[in-house]
Amino acid sequence: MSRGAILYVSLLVGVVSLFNPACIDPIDFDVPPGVGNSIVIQGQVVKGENSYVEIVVSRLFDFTPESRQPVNVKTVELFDTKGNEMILEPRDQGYYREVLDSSTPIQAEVGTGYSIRVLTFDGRTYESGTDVIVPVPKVRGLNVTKIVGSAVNALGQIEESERIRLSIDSDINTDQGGGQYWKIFEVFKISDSPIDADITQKTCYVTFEQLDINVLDLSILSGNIIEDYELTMKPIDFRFYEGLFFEVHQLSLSSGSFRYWSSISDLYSREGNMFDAPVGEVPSNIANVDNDKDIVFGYFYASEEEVARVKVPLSLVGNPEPYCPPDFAATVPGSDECTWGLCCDCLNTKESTLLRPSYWID
Amino acid sequence: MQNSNPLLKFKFTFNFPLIIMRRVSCFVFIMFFLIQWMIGQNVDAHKRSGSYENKPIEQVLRNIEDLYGVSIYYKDDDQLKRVVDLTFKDLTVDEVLDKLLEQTTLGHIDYRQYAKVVAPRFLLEQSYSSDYYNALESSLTESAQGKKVQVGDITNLNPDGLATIHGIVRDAQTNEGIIGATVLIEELKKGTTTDPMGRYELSGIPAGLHKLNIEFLGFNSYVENIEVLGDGQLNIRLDKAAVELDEVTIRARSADASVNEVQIGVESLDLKAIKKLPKFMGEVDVVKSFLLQPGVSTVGEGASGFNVRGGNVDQNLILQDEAILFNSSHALGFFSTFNADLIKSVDLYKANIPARFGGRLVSVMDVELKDGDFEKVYFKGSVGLITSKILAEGPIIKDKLSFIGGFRSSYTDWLLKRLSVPELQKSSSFFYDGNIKLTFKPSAKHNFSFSAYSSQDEFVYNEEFGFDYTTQFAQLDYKLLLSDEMINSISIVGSKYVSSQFDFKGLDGARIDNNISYLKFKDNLKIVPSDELEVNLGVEMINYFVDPGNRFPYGEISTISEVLIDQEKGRESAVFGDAIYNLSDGITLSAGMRLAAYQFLGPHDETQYEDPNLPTIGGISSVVTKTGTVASYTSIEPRVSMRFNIGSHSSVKAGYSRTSQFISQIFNTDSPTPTSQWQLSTRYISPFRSHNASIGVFKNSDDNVWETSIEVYARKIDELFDYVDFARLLVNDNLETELRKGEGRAYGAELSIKKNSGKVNGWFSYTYARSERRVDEINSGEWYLSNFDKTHDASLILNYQPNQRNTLGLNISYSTGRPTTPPIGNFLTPSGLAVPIYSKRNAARIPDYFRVDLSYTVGKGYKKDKKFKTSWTFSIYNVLGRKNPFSVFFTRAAFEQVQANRLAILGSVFPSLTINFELL
Repeated sequence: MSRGAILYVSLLVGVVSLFNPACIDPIDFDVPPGVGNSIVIQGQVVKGENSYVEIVVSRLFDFTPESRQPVNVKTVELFDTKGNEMILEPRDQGYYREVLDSSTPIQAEVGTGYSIRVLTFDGRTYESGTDVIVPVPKVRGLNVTKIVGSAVNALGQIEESERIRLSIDSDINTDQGGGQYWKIFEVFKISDSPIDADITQKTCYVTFEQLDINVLDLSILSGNIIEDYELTMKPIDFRFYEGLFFEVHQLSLSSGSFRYWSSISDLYSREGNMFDAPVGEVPSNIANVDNDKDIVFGYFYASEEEVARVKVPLSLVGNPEPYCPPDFAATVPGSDECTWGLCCDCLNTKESTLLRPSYWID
Repeated sequence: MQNSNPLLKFKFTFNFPLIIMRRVSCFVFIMFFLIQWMIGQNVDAHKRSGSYENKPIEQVLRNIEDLYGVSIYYKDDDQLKRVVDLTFKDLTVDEVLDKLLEQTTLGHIDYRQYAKVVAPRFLLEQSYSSDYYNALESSLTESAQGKKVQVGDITNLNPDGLATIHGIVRDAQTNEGIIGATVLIEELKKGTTTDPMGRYELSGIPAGLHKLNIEFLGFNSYVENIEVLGDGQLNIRLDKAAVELDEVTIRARSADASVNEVQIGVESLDLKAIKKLPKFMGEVDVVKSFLLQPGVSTVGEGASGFNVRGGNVDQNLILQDEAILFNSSHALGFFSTFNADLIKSVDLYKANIPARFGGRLVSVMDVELKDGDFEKVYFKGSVGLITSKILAEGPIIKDKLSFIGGFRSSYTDWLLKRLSVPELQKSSSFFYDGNIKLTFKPSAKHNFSFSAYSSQDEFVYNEEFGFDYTTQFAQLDYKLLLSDEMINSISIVGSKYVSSQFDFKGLDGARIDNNISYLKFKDNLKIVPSDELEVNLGVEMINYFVDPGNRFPYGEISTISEVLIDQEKGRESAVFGDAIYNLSDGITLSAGMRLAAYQFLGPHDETQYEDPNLPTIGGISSVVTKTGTVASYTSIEPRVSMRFNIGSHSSVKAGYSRTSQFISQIFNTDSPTPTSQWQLSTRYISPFRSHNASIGVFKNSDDNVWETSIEVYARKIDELFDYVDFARLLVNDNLETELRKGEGRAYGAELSIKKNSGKVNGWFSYTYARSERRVDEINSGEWYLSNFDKTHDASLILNYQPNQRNTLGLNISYSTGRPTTPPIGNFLTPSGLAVPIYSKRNAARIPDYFRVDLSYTVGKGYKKDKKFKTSWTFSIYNVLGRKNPFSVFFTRAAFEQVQANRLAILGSVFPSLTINFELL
């Protein structure tokens, strides 16, 4: 091969290959045996507009839907550091929730510590450590802006698109350590288009919690305020067509519970690159009091929350495509089965309601 | 008394030593010889008459020569000055000589038919071999022609005709002895290597003409016809082969070094060979080349550093001359920081580390830079797709002061800007490195050198985060040749490594810096009193200054708090000595000792814990300011190796060493980042310590064309640390709370088969290795695989070289996937978020690694006098386009199925072309 040919081939193929970035592919992977039927106990005491305690007991599951198992237990008890205790009643399989107000033996209060005890039907006793409610800083405001940035589209291609950015201004209290935790909800209005003429069109308000962990380590911050701290970015789509509120629950976390949520955030945000933090065992503050080899997952924590909401102005989102009616047949060919979820019946998800939220403004 | 019968010439008696005085000129001698050859049969029969009065015997001998037309040779002897009177009539030459010498102790013999040799009579009763006569004849005939180098003289030739030649092979520029040069007489299959002083000795050499070949990496070969007349000395000065480096035959070690060197587990790179290996982006890389050797691996493409026999990246001592490098990677690990054009030699000690090295647990990579050429100025360089480099060297004062400098830089930004990925368009990557070295040799005994190095890397991703790290050092070396047996080397090095990590945006925008600098002094005295013994003695002291981490807010809106962690200081001192002794022809022992002492120095605010053996944040009791020596450790480190030869081409070697490490890199990711801080040993962070043992069988065959070896090794680390889950390692003033003490072990076997020459050459290497750890607080206290455990690792390198200019190369690499920790379960948070639960640490492996590369090298033209020369290397990296995983991570797909995903960094074919040029 002549030198000229070598040069040409090299430059041609070389440049082409350089434009081929690193790639990610799904692969088959032999997973070692699981950890068995370990119990998972998750609980929280929240002081807020409506203070409550919520406990969920389940088991670890492998990667099939059938393996998910809520667990009924014999008793679930809540304790506070003032010496009060109360037994929680099940609301569903493995699900315990009580509103905490003046009528209950225990109220949610800043500075008070809380713990739980779970007794199973086979006689195992699990107790949590005590978590003290630290005061939540005041939310000063939520901001929504429109930005243009790159995002992955439905075909997996990266493209420029308009997105709504949500950020927060808030006080912070760096002296108390721990962290700040935001739960972000999207509440949007949608009017369905039933294909069955007998069904009346409805307007629903759908609430989805964003499945992200948004925690901030206060121990590395200085000052007493954060401004325009980005919480999320959302592509502009049908959810904005009839109006969308962002609802932000700002929670205060003790150092222990912050470490728990931070660890989960680490696991959840792993991208698989060489600089990812390694995985590990998420720390739990719950243990089997009789058998320290019985591995327990989950965490019990107590916090104060402040809720803030902001509506995304329609002027900001332009003219997104409506969800309903669909521009194609919304039924399975040969049947009347609707395939377009909310559009056929906006109540067909449990996160949906016909009740207009009190804060809603059109 | 005499024996002129030709049939008895090989048995007749004679004496030694004898110095033949050539008394005629070369031309006359030849003419005389030819005449005598023709008429020789009748010389002894001629009868002559003569009379000499009051003349010295020596003068009478000369007169007899003239009178009889015969050559007479004799050595200086007082008796020849005796004055005599001699009168004779019709006597033969023998009869005259008898009469002349009868009053002395001298006698005479015939040498063939044309010469008489006068020598002491008492020596004339010894047998001589044919080699002796060949040598004698050679000394009388061909040697006079002056067309070859003579060694020794006939008077020092043993009766069996075998001689011993010795000498020193020196660098012509520095006058230093060259260690490890191959000295070979091919037709006799006799060879050796020079010792640390450059000395060699070849014994049992038949007198006569031979072709002597001396070779050493980076030097022009010495190929000369030599004439061995007897025992003697031949000193050789080799010129650097800088201009014609690629043309000379170079080997990093002597051909039989794998069998005959006492150290086990030493890999030396053949710099000529690695230039023809397939390479990524066309860049010759010594670190990547080591990955093709047995026992050396990496966690994946793009990872920094390398792992030796299952050890951590930071457990390798990387030296450029005497300077320690703390980060040997450019571009996050795709390239190493070594500019191959400046390198004189590269050795990797992966088993028994010689006593002169210390401070790391597992291996030493010893890179030695070249000196500049003392005679000629020339330039050399190469142009590749993303890097280019240039080298210049030459004399400043001819034969006294030389320079060599090299510079290399990347230019990837133009490519990144053209990529279709927005994140990459907003990314940038750049690195450079530069070396300069001045060498001054005011005399043959003194050699000064000053060298400086600087490198920088910048990497920005999507204008969101980035790295910036620099290495700078300067070193001064002084070598004093105290005698032919002793050389003293003093080195002073000052170095600084600075790294920064940037988070450019948002409220948590921050810059995190960490630095390490040191001052090092080392004195090494090498004594080689005999060919059987080599002794190294020395001292070494390193003062470390470590900034473990400082964090600053970055950007106007950042609310990140500033954190400054106090600088930490430590001192590592060592006294070392070792000796290599040839116990016999077949057994060599190397025994050494390194006594190391380490001090962690104050002032330092030391946190006190309720349980000092298990420091936790919750267990902090107080902070105490300490001065002076805050913590100290000592280490007694024996280093022993032994070689047993089995025949002339096989050996068994074994070795044991104790090593310790007082400074470690902190990282719990698969690969260290440029900002992974270095941490000195403190009261709570103990030094690493290990026992290392290895044994191997080495066999060469077919005149060292084939080299085979099998080595078995084991390492027990009785002190190390690992990290707690979710450890917070950045800017942590209580880092010890994130670490847990434990132990480790590694063991394995390595097979290597090499074919060193021929049209088809190359090597195959295979490694079986295990590397495990045990920490009480991790994995329930059970043993688990380290991140660097690769059970099987194999490489096949084949070169087809139909002629000197063209080489086709093939490289096939395979290795077991490294350990990983996969999810084995899941639970949902109340909000529906699936939280993965992971297996025990490193309980599974990522898929195996397999790669095939090709290269085609067109070497320089054959015209050596050409002023501008080019050579080309075309490489195809990953010919099969295999998507080898760098890592595997897991995502949750629909219906909560967890999907394993493979991240391949170099998942396609990467061709490259490198154009090398030289300008004389």
